[in-house]
Amino acid sequence: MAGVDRVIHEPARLKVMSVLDGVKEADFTFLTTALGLTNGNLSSHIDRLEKAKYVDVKKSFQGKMPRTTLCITGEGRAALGAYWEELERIRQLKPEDKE
Amino acid sequence: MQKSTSNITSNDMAEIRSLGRWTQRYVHSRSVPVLISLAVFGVLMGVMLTLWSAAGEAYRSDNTPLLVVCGVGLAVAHGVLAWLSVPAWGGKRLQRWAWRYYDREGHAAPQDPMPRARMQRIGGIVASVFGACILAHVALGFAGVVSDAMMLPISALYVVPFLTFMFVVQRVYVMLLYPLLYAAHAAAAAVGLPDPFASFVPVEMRSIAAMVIYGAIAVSVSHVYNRIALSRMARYGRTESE
Repeated sequence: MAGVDRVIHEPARLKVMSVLDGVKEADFTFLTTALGLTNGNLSSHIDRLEKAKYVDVKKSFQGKMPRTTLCITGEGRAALGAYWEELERIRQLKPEDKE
Repeated sequence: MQKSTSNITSNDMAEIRSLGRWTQRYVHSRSVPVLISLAVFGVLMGVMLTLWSAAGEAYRSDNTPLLVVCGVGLAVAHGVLAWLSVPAWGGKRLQRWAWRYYDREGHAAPQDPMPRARMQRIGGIVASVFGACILAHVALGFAGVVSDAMMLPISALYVVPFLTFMFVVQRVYVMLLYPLLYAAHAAAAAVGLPDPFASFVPVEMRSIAAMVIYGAIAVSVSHVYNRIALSRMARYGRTESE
């Protein structure tokens, strides 16, 4: 378990990363639609991912409405790929190897 | 309850991994703005063709008032078409209005299939070739080289590769139904099979009718697929740890 990235390992953050991995960029509303998270919960997960430099967050205005757009960084994409590889490696270990 | 790697099953892993793929499918299949554009341009083309036909009739029967009305109507219709076709004038406004359908679901941009500069270069070349084909085709039609009945089969020679290229490059595979239906119709017309539009579309309007009708069918199928992708995305995306 030592090799598993704890930032991505949280299911909500893993799903945020997975959604962003499938698009060039997405706005906050899109992520709440896709993941069914509350605004506050999603914000805290995004903060964590942003601090780890896994996502880029851009804040802008569309008319008078604030708009938050997110995209996965190259570092984030690499971390997600490494996470899945590590998880697959752990899953394939025999029970005695896990202990 | 939150899951950790020790109790995450391969099924969970597969579902989470597929989230990105379903997101891609959802983003690529959002087609309501295309349907709205098709409807707007379809109605405009229909109005213009009707006015052209009425103007011809008025000219032949020396009906000057009707000819003037048709002329003014055509000028207005062409103006609206030009306004909607140029992004800086009304094109962007129409698109912005059409995209409002997805405001509640949020917005996401699909990944660029290739670097932007390269895409613009290739897009420019393809659009120029397509435009030249349309001009040549219309000119051949006016010159009487291509008969009305053969206009649709001949148009398929450039419309089908153009649409196929566009949807493959953009990875909007569900929309390949559009060139497929168009090609099937053209092939049927070329071998002399009865035309499915014969009862309600005059022969000179069949290429445009095929564009609009098959486009609307493909876009509607794409919309259904989009709703499926949205429900899959939401199902795999729901987080138990909230």
